[in-house]
Amino acid sequence: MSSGIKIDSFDHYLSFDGPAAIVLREWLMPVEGTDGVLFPATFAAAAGDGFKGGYNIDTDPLTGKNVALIDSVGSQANRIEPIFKEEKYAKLVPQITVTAGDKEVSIFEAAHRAGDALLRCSALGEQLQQAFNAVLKGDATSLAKIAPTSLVFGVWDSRDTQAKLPRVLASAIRAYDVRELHRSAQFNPPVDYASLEVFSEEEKQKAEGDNKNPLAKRGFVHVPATWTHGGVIADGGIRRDATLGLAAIRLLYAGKDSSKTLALRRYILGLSLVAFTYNSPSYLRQGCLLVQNPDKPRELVEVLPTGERKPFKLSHEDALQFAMEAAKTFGVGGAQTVPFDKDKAKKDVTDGGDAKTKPKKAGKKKMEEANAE
Amino acid sequence: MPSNLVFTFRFLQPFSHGRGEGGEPEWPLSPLRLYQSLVSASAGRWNERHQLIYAVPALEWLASLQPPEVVAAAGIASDVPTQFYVPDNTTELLVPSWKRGEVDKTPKRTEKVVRPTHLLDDTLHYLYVLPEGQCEHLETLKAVARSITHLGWGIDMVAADANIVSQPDADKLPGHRWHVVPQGGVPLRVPKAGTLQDLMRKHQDFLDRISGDGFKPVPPLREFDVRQYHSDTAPRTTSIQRPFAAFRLMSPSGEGNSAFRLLTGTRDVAGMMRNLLGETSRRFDIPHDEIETFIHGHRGKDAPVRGDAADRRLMFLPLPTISAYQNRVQAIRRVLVVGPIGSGRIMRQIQIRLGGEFLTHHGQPRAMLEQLSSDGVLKHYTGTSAVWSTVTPCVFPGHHKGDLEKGNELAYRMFTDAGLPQPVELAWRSVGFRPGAELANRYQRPHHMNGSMYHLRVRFPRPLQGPLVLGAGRYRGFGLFAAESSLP
Repeated sequence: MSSGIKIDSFDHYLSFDGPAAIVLREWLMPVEGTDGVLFPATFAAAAGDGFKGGYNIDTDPLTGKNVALIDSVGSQANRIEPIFKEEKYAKLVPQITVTAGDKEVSIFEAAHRAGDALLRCSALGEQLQQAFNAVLKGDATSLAKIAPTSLVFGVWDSRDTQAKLPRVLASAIRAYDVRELHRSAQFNPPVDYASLEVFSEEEKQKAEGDNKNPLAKRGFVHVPATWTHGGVIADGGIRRDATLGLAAIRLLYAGKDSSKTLALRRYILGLSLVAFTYNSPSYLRQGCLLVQNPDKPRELVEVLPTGERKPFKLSHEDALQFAMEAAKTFGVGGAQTVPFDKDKAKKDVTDGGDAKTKPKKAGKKKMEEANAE
Repeated sequence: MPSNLVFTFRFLQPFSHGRGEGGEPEWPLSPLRLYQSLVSASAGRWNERHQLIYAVPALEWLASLQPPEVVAAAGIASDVPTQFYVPDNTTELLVPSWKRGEVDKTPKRTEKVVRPTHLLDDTLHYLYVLPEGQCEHLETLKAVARSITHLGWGIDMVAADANIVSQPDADKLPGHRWHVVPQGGVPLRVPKAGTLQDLMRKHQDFLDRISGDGFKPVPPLREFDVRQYHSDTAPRTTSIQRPFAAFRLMSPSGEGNSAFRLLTGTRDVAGMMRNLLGETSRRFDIPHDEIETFIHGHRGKDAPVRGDAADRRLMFLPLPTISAYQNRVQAIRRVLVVGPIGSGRIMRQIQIRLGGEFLTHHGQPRAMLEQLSSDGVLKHYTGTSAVWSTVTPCVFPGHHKGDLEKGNELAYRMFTDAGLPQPVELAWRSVGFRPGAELANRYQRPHHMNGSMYHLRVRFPRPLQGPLVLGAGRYRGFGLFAAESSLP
């Protein structure tokens, strides 16, 4: 390890007297410059008179200032978690893959992580069930051997044991004081197909401007697209906020064995620090390529339970070295490539029948109740 | 010497997603939510995942205390809910498609509505009074608090702590102070004796909800109380607008509007509307034993509801037209039915199911209701503004008998009773502040409605969203305000 970093260098973060969290504030900007245009995520319209769709921009009625969501917590997690497939990080965690026909799905790409139905309906199903049951009994070791990043990004085994573990790492990107822009465009076919008698002039007139018309859909007529989303300019800057919840790691146990518990916590802390210090992907979507703003340095602090904030410094390379050592001490689970099990899936559907395959209405109601509480 | 046990939360991102009654954004977060987070953290801290043991005495003691005062950063709810689409946990259903070579198919997505509260600062404190200044459970509760990782949704990460704080130091905590009031205000859930056992029951039911016998719905939490919380200073904006149903008053034949005179129409239209709701109450999801209180505001003959439940009732607000060019108050051609916070579903039912119904007087139809979603007149009453003035006079909660100071005291009390912040400017008089508003004592009111009547004009420290109605007659349309200048 690099000088100064030892296996116990971060044990004070794992002590119940230690800091509650590490928080990063990182100022970004479009590659075009601070006044460049960036395209936030768009969202569908809500039913009724609510959200009309488009960018998620909230305005403070007291000050008139606004904030736009550029990349949500869930989206950031989906970008960061797959780094553990890369060669540089792959040895830190077991590489678990489920095959189904020609498709291979890595656990890092499964939407619900270790709780994903695809994994449950594979040869790993029983192992995962036992691991989740062990979590409920106070031992996260088995789960950390199969799916340690599920402990970093959070997991809920919603279709079986109901075991839930909160996320340790959360990251989101927002833009402040944005000005919305619009754009217009027009598709022009290369030739006049009506004059080539592919269809009549009347049919052409009817189709032009109607993007539901088959001729318009197939590119045979002019189709304007006017006053659509044209991105935003962030006059107040763009900021990525990331939080590493140390208190959450301290709630992980390996049963009653204190030395194994320490090894488990160091392992998960190592993975979390790697993910936390990783330069998250800068290409978010078409029109949204963000880089660090050199005029506004990163703010990285430890937050104590008292609210006191102290500077925190850790390079990504040091985080990786610590993680490697912690992984070696803990013992990384073995890689597994397992097939999807059709019979398990059928059994999963029939055992519990409608209750499992159609929990949506009841589940939604429960979510509403849970959210209300 | 009294002091306070203070639980402090620092939000590590400037948002909170916690929801309260009716799924609306909740801020401040309820004391019950604090309690639930302590219970959950206790399980994690001492690794007691099946049965809490270590922290039980401390948690039971905490639930026995009086509800805390809350000191909170300002929170502004998002303007509108945003629809996210998150993948359903049904990936296995895609496998047949994948095997056919359709490898680009992705899991079905389910809707998730997100509406955060933006926080203008990061702190939230819960202050429990310790009359003797002592807390034998401090070490345990401190350890539990420091193990709390989230408050609200799973993305609302916090750093928490617990301390004993002297009263002078507690008074200096920065933020908006929310305290329990007899009526009005914002309803927040609070724990009580029995809450801990009910939480443990619910947790076990949740773990057992899916089994070989199928899906067993989890009964909601039952053992908690609701208290009305009020802050004199916290900004009120879109986050706590009361839900309402609006109607235009048409002639009984449906041809043209019905217009009711200003001086008698408030009393008459409110009365007819209330009677109609009473007659049609079975069409709505109002629990049978709550109909009398919810619609009529009393339990039994001549027994008005008082205390915590007094504000959990409908308001019937006839709306005078306000002309577009002169802002002149005119006849009544619309009516608003306003429900308490959390009654959004019932109000939507009222809006839908009463369209086409008749307001009657002694059996004779006087107007037909036409659903009204939005128009220029309605916006005068439901818009956002810092300055408001009455179109119908307020009924003061008493008589001042010429004593101006007493009159002012009664006037300001109306804001507290309605759970509103105190205004920074307030004027009251018999003459209206708006063209077209009649002299206050000329308005005909129901017989039982006592108290002096005056018109008011107020300026709040921050814009409020309507509808705004004050005074002892506020459930029957008296004390109705219109915005003097609405924000866009």
